[in-house]
Amino acid sequence: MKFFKGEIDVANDAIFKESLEKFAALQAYSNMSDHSSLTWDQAVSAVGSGQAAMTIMGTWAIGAFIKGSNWQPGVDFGAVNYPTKPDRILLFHPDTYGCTVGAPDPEQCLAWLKVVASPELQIPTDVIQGGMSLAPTSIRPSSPIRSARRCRIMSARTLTS
Amino acid sequence: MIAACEAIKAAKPEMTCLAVGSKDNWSDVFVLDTIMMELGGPSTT
Repeated sequence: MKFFKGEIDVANDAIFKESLEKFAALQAYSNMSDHSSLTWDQAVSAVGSGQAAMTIMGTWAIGAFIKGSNWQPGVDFGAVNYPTKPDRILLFHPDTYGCTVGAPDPEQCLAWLKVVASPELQIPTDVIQGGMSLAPTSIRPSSPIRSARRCRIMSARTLTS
Repeated sequence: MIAACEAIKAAKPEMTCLAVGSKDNWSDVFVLDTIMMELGGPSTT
């Protein structure tokens, strides 16, 4: 968190330096020949085609596995939370919407938020594509991977981006 | 993860361990994020 707040001296911080060193070490095991020309879903496809063993991605990769490789979550592929040591940390990237204080059209703004949070929008965008809807809670995750992640998010102290 | 990649490389030399799509810069950040969290913790304050 301190890093993203700009509170780390990146030129001298030992943890940041070690992070970059490990990041560089991982490159030896990555697709360095074509990584810069691939989008995130193409990297997922590399796993689906058997060219790669894993990728680091959010739950929306589930939709890419299903659509791109006809793989089913919990059957053809799984997911693990990383890192787990020394602490199990789940980085949660939410798309969030809100109404600002003094919004010129508060009624319209609230109406938009109702649309965003509705099952009619959440299901085709989040549930089918692979994102994870947290609200309304009546929408149930459609895969064991997302179900486990949602339980984790709803029950733990969560660090959001 | 590096240990796992070593094992995968030994078992299947033709297989890439970690697929990365750097055309989307944020997907690279995911990799660095996880390493930083492992080494530095969440430091939520």
